[in-house]
Amino acid sequence: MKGMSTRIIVLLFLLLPALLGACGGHKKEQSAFPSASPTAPAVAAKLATVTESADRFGQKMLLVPASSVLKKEGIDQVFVVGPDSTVTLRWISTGHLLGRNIIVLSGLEKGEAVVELPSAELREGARITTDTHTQDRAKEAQQ
Amino acid sequence: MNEGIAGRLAKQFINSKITPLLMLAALLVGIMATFMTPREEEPQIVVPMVDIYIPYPGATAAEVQERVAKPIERAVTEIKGVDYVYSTSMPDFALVTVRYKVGDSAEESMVKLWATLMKYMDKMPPGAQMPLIKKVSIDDVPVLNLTFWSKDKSPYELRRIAVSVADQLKQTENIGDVEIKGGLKRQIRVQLDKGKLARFNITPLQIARQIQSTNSQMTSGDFKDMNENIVVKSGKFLQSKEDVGNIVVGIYGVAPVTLKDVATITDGPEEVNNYTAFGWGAASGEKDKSDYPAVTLTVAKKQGTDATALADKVLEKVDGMKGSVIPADVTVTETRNYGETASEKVFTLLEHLIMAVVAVTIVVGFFLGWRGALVVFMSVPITFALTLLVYFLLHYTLNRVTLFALIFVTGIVVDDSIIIAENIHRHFAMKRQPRLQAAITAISEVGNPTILATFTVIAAVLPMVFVSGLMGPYMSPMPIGASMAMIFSLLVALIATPWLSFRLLKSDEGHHEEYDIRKTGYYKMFDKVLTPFIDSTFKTWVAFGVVGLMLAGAIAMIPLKMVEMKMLPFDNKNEFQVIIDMPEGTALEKTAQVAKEISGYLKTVPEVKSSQYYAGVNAPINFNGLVRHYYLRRGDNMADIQVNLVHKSERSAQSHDIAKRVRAGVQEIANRYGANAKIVEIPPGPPVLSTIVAEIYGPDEASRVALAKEIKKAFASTPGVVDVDWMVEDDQKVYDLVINKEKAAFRGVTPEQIAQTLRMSLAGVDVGIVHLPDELEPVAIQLRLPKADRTSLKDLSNIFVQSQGMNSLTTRLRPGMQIPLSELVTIKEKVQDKSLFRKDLKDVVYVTADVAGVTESPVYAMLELDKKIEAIKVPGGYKVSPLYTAPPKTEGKLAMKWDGEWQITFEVFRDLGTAFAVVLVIIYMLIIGWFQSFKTPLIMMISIPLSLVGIIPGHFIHHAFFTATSMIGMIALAGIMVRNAVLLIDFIQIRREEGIGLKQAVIESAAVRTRPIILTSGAVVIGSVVMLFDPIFQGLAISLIWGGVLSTILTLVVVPLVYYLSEKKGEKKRLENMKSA
Repeated sequence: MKGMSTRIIVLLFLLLPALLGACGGHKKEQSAFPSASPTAPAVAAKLATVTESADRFGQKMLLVPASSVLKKEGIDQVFVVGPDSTVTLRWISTGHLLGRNIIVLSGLEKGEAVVELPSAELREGARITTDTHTQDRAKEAQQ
Repeated sequence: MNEGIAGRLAKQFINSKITPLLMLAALLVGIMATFMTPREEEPQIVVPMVDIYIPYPGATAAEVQERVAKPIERAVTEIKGVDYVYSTSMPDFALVTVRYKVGDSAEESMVKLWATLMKYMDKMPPGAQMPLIKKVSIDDVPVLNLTFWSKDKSPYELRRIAVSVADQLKQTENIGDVEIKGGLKRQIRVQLDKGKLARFNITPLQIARQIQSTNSQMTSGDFKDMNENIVVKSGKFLQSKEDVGNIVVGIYGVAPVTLKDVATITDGPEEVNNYTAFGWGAASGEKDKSDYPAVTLTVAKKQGTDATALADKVLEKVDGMKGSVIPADVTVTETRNYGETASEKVFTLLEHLIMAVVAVTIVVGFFLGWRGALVVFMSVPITFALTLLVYFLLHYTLNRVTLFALIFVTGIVVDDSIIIAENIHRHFAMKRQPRLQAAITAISEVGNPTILATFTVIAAVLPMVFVSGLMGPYMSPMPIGASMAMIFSLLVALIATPWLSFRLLKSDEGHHEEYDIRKTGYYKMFDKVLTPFIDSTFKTWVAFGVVGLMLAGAIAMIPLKMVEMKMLPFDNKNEFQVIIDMPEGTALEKTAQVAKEISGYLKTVPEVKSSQYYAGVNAPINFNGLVRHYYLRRGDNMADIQVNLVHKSERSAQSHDIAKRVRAGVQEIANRYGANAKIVEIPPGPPVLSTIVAEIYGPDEASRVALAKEIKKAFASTPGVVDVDWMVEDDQKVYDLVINKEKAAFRGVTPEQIAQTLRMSLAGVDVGIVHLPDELEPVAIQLRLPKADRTSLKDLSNIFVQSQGMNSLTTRLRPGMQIPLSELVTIKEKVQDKSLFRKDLKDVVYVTADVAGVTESPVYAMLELDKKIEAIKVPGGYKVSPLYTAPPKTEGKLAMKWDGEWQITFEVFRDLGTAFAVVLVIIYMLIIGWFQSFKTPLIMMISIPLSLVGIIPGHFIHHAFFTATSMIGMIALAGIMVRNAVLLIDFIQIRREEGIGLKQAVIESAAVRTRPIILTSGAVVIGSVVMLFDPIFQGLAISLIWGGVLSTILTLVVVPLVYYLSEKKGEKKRLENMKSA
């Protein structure tokens, strides 16, 4: 019977870390903006800008080259070039054709850059180089 | 010695052959019940909630409210059992939501509602249509979401695949609603060519009529001839786009004009009305993180069925369809599986249960040796087995609440067995009697106080049944389960434990000298601790003073905000949603762009596994969406994002912390586009409209909105208050085409013709379906102007209506003359009517917000806001003081009431507080009945407030909120502490009756009872440690652990002292009486 109290003391000491271990548990906050993904190899592409124009009634409208719009099963998309030269697919709504341009009803803003004649391999997040001519010239210079 | 019920029971069963059989039977039944009880994540809540939709085309919001919403509200309020009535009046349409008292029968409520509505149907204004009544229940929340996405397939193709999968899934047993979110349906689109219509002199209305009359087929009757019936059918349904194209819609010169001459007819996807996409997140391990078109199939379950079993069956079926119905280039990803999470939750909780039992066994082993531990270890599973059987019989499901009840009582149910086993052990060790006799004496000695003590614990938890409101169903399984478990544990302790102890416990060999309590360590310790206090009254009062100060200090931590109150902390879930509201009038593509950008940001968050966005259509709803009506979110300016996180075992951050962390990033993008984005987590308890809701009442809409604007500003300027929003729409420009009635009449055109023509041209009208037997979804024929031709008002200029001619008696024009619409209408620009809200027959404007960051508990934010709101100047010069408990009595003055989580918090703490008061009275009465004294119970109940000394600082040490579960722990602890005191004082009285002096009896009983008290409290403490890591049950664990430890120590010292003090005066008299007797 005498050994009982020592056993209790041992037990209480064993308990203590378990209780204290459960205290707190505050982890340090992680950064809200993780670093950007590693840069992908750049793809050469020709760009076009969304332009504003008006019809004969003075009604304003936005135009992009029709060749920049990917049409599939009732859905229209364009590759929009972001400020960091990466492209994202954007769903847009289009109206009538006007020459080689098409009226954009919604989804694009004036001044935004879109990829003209996007190649089939172009994927979201790809980086593009804006000026193909300089590349071509650089190639020519090498030869 | 008197044997009592306990002794007699024990005598019956201690040597009976039936005892082991009973034990075995109980175990088997329990195991069976565990497997047969359905498993699900959320508890089954019956909150009969019914949505009534009443279309009233053409009416303004104010008119809808006055003519439709108000009469229906008033009618519905008459129904017995209706708790709340909400209404929303929009142009053309009213929505009245009726909420019954929690627990009312859903079917009965529906019948009552239907009867009442029918009674008032004749009072509805002409033009109001038949109401649509929809019951909303927890089973509407899908348990399984499967997202179909593909790199090459279009939304149209994806939807067709999902539809055929859904069709086959419907055959699964116990499956509820199967729905498809997103994608485009097949449609025959008739896109009218305005130029050709004008040239061929044909109007849209004419076309609609022609299509409708052509698309018919019927059985005409039969001929009888030669004893035979020959059935005659006539007409033929339209079956293809060619059929539709060949319909003759008019005549030009001598040639018939077919539909294909004046319109482009396509068979394919409908016009885009939603954009939904799926993309992998940073934590998925996938390389390609771009968005792909997606369609989500949602599966709900039937009431009371097992979510896990259903999800498994569905997934197996879908797997079987891969390669056949589902092409190889379509990926099916599980984006929600509540079956799996339910199963996981249940198994984690069961695991906790086993851990708790093992931990308790080890503690008991320390004191009583492995044999004693074995006795206790074997009695617990029997108790739980029987409790699970009761769950099964009461039609409870195994969910997080019912299992919580089991964990909660783990530490308590072993107590009865411990007390009995410990006393048998002690009597065996004393060797005063032969074994059987010793066992029965031991049981008789503690048996009856144990029965009393068990009932005090039951009395403590049972009043929780009376928690009303939405929290009721969350709480009720707890007292019921816990009380059942307590009763079973008592029976086990009185029947099984003696049987087991008698066979397993051994008398210690070697100790042959007479047992003397004075030689034990406990006695020496208590002798040393208690004697100085007993001998000096001054020291006693100093000790009481110290304890009193500790108590005051602990309670002071709450007003000092060292411990904050919150109803329920957030659970660690694997998902959350982002709700995006663009300004009214935003185009769908713009909304989709914002949703995509926010989704793109969320995908970079390291814990995010995948993200789906739904623009123009609502995401599959979760528990919250049910109350917030998220299933009605449909519109070009609305988008939802469903964010799935990696499994909680693979991340260190809690879902709530992740949600808090991403809020800034999400808001930044949303603000850039003028959008309002809210982060919506799955509520740990009942869902509410929003965490903080301010209801603004007042005499008229303008003043309410003005005050709401001020309050919204106050919200936004308060740190910790986030996601501020209000239910007042932005101004949206609408064109009102006013029909010049005189002109129209003069041209022989009715206003109805004009309205219909306009609707057909702009919104499109389904004029029928093509009859394709193999098609799973109906294929509509839609008449509309092409998108490119309805971009501005000038496009309306060359739409024509036909004059009715002389028939109309108002014109001399010949019938069929083409009248341009532009000639008959004038255009007025105005602002769209805003939705009007009412709650419980009062006009109201809601301002909503959430809390995160600085304050996590809405109460503190509300207290801070109170000051700001009182400072707002309102016309009339009075102060608006926010109300807390009830809406204002009159609407004459502006007023504000807090609602949201507060309302539930208030109800729960009010009901729990009342319950606690009732508990104290019941405990008091129970002890009076036992001890036949008014004073003794008061001494015993001293230990109840002492638990606060441990509970509140415990929360402070753990940085935890004082939650509803903490409160439950506190109430349960009251029962446990009183039981300890009962056992203690009962023993003092037994010793005193045997003729021992008061001081000696007090010290002796403290010494003898220390071991069982520490053992039982130790069991409670150890049993709760496993709960410390669960975000929701943490509060309960802290209460039981810290409250248990501190109040046990204090009880052992304070209760004997108080008893000594109170009995000291009567002691001399008593001794004299005993001598003379």
